[in-house]
Amino acid sequence: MLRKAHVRTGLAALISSGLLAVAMAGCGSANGTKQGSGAAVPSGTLTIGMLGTFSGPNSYYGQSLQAGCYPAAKEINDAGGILGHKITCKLVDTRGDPADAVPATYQMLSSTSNLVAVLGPCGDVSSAVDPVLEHAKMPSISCSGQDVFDHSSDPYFWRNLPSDGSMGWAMTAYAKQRGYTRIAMVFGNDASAQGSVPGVLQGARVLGLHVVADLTLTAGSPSYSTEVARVIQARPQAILTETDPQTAGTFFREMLQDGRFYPIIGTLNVMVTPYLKSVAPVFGTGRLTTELVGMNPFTPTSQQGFKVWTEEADATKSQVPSAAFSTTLQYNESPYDGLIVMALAMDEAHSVKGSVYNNDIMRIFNGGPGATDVSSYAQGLKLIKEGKAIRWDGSEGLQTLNQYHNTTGNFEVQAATPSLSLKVVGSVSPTYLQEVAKGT
Amino acid sequence: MFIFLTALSAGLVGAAAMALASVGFSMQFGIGNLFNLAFGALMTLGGFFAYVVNAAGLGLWLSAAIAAVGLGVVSVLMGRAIYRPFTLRARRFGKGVEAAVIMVSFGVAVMVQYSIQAIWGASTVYGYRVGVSAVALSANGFVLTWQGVASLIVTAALCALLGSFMRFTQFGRAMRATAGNEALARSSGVPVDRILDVSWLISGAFCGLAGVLLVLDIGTLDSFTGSDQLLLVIAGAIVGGVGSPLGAVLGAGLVSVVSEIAAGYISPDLKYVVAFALLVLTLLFRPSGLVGSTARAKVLAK
Amino acid sequence: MSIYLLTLVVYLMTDVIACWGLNLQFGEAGLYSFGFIVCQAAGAYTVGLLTLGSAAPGQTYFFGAHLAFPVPIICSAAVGGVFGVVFGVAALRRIRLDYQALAMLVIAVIANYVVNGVTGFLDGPIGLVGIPLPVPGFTQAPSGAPGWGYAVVCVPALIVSFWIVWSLSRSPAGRAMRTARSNEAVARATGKSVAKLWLGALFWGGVLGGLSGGLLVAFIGAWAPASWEFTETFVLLTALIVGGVGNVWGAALGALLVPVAFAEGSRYLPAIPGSPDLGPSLEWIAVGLVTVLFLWFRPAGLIRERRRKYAVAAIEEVGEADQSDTGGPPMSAGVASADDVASTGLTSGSAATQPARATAATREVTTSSPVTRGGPPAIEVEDVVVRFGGVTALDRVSLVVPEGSVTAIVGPNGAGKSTLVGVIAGSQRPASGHVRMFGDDVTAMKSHARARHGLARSFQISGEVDGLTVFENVMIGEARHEGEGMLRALAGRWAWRDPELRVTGRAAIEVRRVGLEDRVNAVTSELSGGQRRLMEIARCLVGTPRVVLLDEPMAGVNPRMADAIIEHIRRLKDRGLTVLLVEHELEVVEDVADRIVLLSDGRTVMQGDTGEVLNAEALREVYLGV
Repeated sequence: MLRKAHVRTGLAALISSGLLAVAMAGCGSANGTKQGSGAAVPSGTLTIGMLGTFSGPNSYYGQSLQAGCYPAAKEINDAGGILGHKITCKLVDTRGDPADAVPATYQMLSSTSNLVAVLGPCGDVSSAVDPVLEHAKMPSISCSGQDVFDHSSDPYFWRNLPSDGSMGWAMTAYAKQRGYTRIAMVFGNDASAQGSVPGVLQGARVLGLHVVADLTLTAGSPSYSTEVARVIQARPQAILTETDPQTAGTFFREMLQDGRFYPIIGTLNVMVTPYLKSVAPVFGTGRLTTELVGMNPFTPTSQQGFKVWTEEADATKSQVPSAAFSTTLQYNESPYDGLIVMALAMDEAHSVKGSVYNNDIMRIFNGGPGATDVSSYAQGLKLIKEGKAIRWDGSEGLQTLNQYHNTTGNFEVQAATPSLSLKVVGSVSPTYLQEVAKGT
Repeated sequence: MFIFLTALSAGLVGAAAMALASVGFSMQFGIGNLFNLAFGALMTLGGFFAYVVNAAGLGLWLSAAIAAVGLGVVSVLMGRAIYRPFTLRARRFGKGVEAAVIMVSFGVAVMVQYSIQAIWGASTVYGYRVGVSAVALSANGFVLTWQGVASLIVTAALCALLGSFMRFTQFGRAMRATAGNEALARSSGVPVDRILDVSWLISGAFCGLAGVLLVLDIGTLDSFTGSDQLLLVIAGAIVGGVGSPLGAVLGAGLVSVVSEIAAGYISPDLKYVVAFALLVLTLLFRPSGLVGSTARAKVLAK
Repeated sequence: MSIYLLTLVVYLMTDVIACWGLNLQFGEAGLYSFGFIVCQAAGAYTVGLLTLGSAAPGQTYFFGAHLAFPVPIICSAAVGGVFGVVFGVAALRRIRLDYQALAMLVIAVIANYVVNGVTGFLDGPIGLVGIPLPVPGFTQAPSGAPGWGYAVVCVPALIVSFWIVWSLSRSPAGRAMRTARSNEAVARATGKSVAKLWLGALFWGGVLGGLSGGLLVAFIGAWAPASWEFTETFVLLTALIVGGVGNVWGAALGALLVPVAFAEGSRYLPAIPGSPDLGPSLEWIAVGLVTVLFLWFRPAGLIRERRRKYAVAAIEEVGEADQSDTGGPPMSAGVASADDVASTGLTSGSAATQPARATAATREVTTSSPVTRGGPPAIEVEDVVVRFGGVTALDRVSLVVPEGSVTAIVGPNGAGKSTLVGVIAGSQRPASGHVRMFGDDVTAMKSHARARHGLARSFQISGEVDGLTVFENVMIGEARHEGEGMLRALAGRWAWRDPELRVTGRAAIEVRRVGLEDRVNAVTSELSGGQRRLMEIARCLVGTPRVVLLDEPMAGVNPRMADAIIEHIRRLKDRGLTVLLVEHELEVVEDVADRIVLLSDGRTVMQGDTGEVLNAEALREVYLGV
């Protein structure tokens, strides 16, 4: 008599594979000590997590974290490290979607030895990942522009970059400043660009600008001629935009082929190197340096902190993907400043435990009574050891964070140079910005 | 009218690159019985072949030719090493030949795409050493650059050449016989294996060249350039009628122009949605496409 | 470590549920649902919309509903099922498989584009954020992150999902699905409504997809179009290919190995500084390579689809008992599946009798009858016209098959015999004309309805169902199996056990009659051509048909076997069945047929008694052109 015998084989395979998976997970985390295990200062090298998108079409977001982390780590290690411990930057890939970002974050938290701080996350995964970091009491310097964090009440969330919404406001304020009344909006269909759209619409409404065209470009199309035609038909005076680099190249090339061009006002993302590389051949040097501007929170470059940053960035240039390297791009400067502030906070609090040093972060960003401005980690460390209060004045100059842990302050206007670095060409009127803020 | 003419000219130039790709895809499907999901990634590879030699100093025409030859060779190797053995083996096991081969082509697509990313980076942007092309014709929105004209001429010439080859030469007839019924062709003395090699070579060359034209049309090249267009290429091939070069050309033209017009009049967001909707409707309701006849056994359920 | 392990466990459970759902559609039913990920997305968005309420300032979802567990998760399952049906409708078109796959895939792509592009509906590319945990008191850890309570909450869903796929798989409904998967024509010819089966598979598969999405989204807390691009379906398909298609345990293993262990394990690979793309790229290249290698070396997967075996006990010699009415001794239904042996205590070797079931098994005995009787003809074809394009395949064909006769349709190749068979069986719609069975007009009836009306048929080529054993091939012949419905399958064994036992009983008898009792658990490819014909004849008889239609049963059969088949055809007649035989070998026809219908060029040239037709001039003209 013949019998069925296959069920048992199946079960055996399933169970053994299950054990294998558990063993793998166990192996991975056996090396890690849990965050907050009690010791204020664990032994060995400390790890900084770079939590961002490192694969796929948006991988240049994550690369900015590298461009900021490596110079900061070198500077910190050269001065003796944090509480005497050297630090290292570890790459953690979120892959750009929440379903992958969350387990990546959990894995980072559970299996990274001596993880003390996080740079990132960037992009639209932030809203999924932020609660995870909060629960783990892990301070992080975010590089996400999502408006949802504008009024964040999360204690461990820090953002020294402008939100997408505020960038939108800045763009409209600048447009008004230049006297434009008819604007066309051209934004890509990715989350970052779309995040700026509400801000632009709000700003336009409050300041009385007429939005004559509002287009969303689907990324990856070989042609945008029809979209270009719609813009031309609408007869704008300026274009407010953010798209990915390839889309921008195609769109503006076709616009020029139609014999038209308009001044372009963009977010910070029009100043990243891949974008400039894509549009530079299309615009030609003349237009590139005069007709394309990007909004940027006001960050001076004359201070000592900027010089220090440039030196450290140059020294670690080989570790950073060349496409991401830039000393004038705020996406690179923010993680650098953020990491040094967190490091100084740990020194000040005599602890690498998030729940202990987190409060010092605010103090070092905003400064307290009697605080001395410092422009390098070594300088800050020295003063902390002497018991003095400090304020960080680094690559971005003095930054002030509001009660929601977001930056405040004015915007400057950047343009590209022929060598594709960035220079400041103007600033946004605070009056118009305040008007928009009040009216929204 | 301005919008219409803009859409028309954009659609035509877009169709030029797409048509070559759709013809190549259609050929692989019709003759080799391969639904090649790797086609987009292979177009990107063609674009990179041209980039490498172009960056080393060669002129654009020569680079494009090298890309075509390179991809032709790659396709022949893939056909022989991967697809042919699978098709033969799957046939022994009966139903689902198409199914197994489509999964294989997906696996190959993944391997090609990520090999490209491993070598050239996922998001790094490249470009050919060409300036921005001057405008040849501009009339109330209908814009053609010299490069667009060149693309159209090259595509038209190659497709016409292929069409005549398939129709008027003995080898071409043998190819069509293989497409219709491979077993019958083989037993009639047609050298099927050689036919397949040649069809891989030609379709691969078209694929590589299409990649180059695509990069010229967009202006930049990155690891996703070709695969972004895969579904549109498939749409062109199927809407036009698989197995027929003329069908592929018409299909590519139709898909390209219709989606540009939809973008112009309705909404740019919908550009791709319209193209894909055309594809789905064709698959469901007229699978033989524009040019094919419904009696063709190839498209009906087995 | 604990939270990461929890993540793995939750992801494992949701991936297993998703793989089970896809397996139901792809593995069991053979549908190329390359757009499956849409069901998962639908479930995720449902839970999000129903629980977010007015979480974010200024944004209200779904009228501010803040539904409590378990309502959202149940809704996500239902919505997933609906999406499975609606989006899977492409499967119901009769197009080749890769087109089907492509259509589903493109639909998923369109859905992703639309959701991505329309802001304010599902928040476009940003998606839904801040989705709360269900029953936070239980599922939330003190830190605020999800705790092990969440895994506990997933377990009932896992159990329900297991029940759905397992009970369907082992039931007659599962067998019907597998039949339709391998050979649609046979499925229809044996009374199975293929459309209903597919809709059922799409629905329940979609339910599991939606359920997996609903569970996943509350754990992650956010959901965006980037999380459900069409490539995700391919990851699940790879999981099935690796683990084992068409097998519940295989699907679970695949879910463990591919999405979970592979993707998560690869995070432990060291990152190469300066080239962060290399690591993830290599990992994906490995996925592609694994897919291709498995398809080549082990296409059935690690755990193959199991062969369902039956134990056929020795059956007493049937002999003359056939021909008597219910008077004879009850025959032993000495056959059982291995499960039945365990549960009912039937053992091999002993001809254990179960009178109740045995009586049912004897039901198929009929009285023998003379060739001509009063009453309507078994089959009547009246003025049927069939055109293909410009060609008229059947030109006003009429014929009559008297009840109880053996009628042969003969004619040279190209005469239209196959088309006529199609018209009679219901797979070919005539442009005009009628077909009647025992006086009932069946012209509008589809083939599966005609099968249920009493018509059984064999096929000229490929009448075997690959995924089933010989015994199962015979069992499916029951066109009116009361236990075959999907809902019955889900209700549990008790709902279909009795009808199933009756069918196995009858199948055992027929298998014995054609002499295949020692090949019952073989795969059809192990049989010779003649044995396959006999198998089909046995299949025809399981369901107590009134008319048996045999399409060129001698084709490709060696002479010795041919004699056996002829003998069986004679016996059919002795049992009082009406036989319609399509044949072009005149010697065979002479041997066994009472009446002949001569077809040529789509027309009935003549019909009448065998002797008459065989001697007619017309026959010579048609066959020899003389």
